Amino acid sequence: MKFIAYNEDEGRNEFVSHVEGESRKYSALQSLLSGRKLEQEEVESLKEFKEVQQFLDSPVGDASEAKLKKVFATAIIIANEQGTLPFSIEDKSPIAIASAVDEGLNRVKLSYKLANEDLDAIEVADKLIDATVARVVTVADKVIERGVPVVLNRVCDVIAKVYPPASVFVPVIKNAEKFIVTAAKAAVRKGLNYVAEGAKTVVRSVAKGLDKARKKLISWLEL
Amino acid sequence: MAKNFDEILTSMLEQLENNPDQDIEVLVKGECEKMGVSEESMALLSETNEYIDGFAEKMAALQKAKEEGKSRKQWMLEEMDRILEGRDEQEKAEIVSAISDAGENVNNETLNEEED
Repeated sequence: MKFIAYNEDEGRNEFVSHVEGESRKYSALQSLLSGRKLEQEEVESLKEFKEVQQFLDSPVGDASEAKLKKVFATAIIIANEQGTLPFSIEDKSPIAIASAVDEGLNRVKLSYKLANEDLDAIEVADKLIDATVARVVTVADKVIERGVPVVLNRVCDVIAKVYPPASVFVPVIKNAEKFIVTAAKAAVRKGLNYVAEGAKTVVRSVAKGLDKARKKLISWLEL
Repeated sequence: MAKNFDEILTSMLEQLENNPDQDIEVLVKGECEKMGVSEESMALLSETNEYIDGFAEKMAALQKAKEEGKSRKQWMLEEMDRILEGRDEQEKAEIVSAISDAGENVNNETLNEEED
């Protein structure tokens, strides 16, 4: 969306509404896509760890979250260097890796909380949008340096990395599932299904606005 | 010797389990040294972890603002005003257009890919 002005009278409110709207759309689309990818595959448990269970049980925003996210990011980067990463990370930039881990592990935790009724579906959808907006602001804050001219194409390309596709964050979800007890894994899957179901309403409204029929999307939505 | 992804994750989680108060940065550094990770990957990891911290800080700031009665939009406007401070109106409009296009492009690409 092009803005010709950004001030109190014009642009400001439209801009934040647009970013919020695209973040909502992104979250819903990826919920639907990740739900479909995950329903096709069961993940075998490897070993349960207290640290992972603590991550699930702690309040949203707890310090244990960044700790586990850093463990995952480290394992991804080391395994990638050694050629043993069992999934593909097309974009090896720090923003893309951090965003994939953030989105994947946020979805694991929020889905678990939804299945355990610590949060309702609206709260979970809201927190997923919050996390996306928080990533947009973090990266904008870093790349738009005070007093330095901005390369607009770079801003667009770099900000786009905070919206990882399901193909990238679903492996993070599946690998987290390997380290939790069976009951917690079942709760995560149940929550992910709820989130995917809940996303259909948003995706339906997006599909209606499209000028061409999106056959696959429409069949998923059972329209 | 190369370890697979599961082995690396398991090794780090075991270390955390044995010493829950261990500093995560020390654990990460130790694992990288043990595995002989290149300088390039160390730099990538350091920057990645900075972003993980940055996302957590902004998420916490947004939750706090909401608890204080602000909307997500109000919070974002305040953040953008701070980030864009000192730039002229035209430059601000161009920057927010670029930010706005990023999410829109990703969603359009997703919809187009799923159509194929």
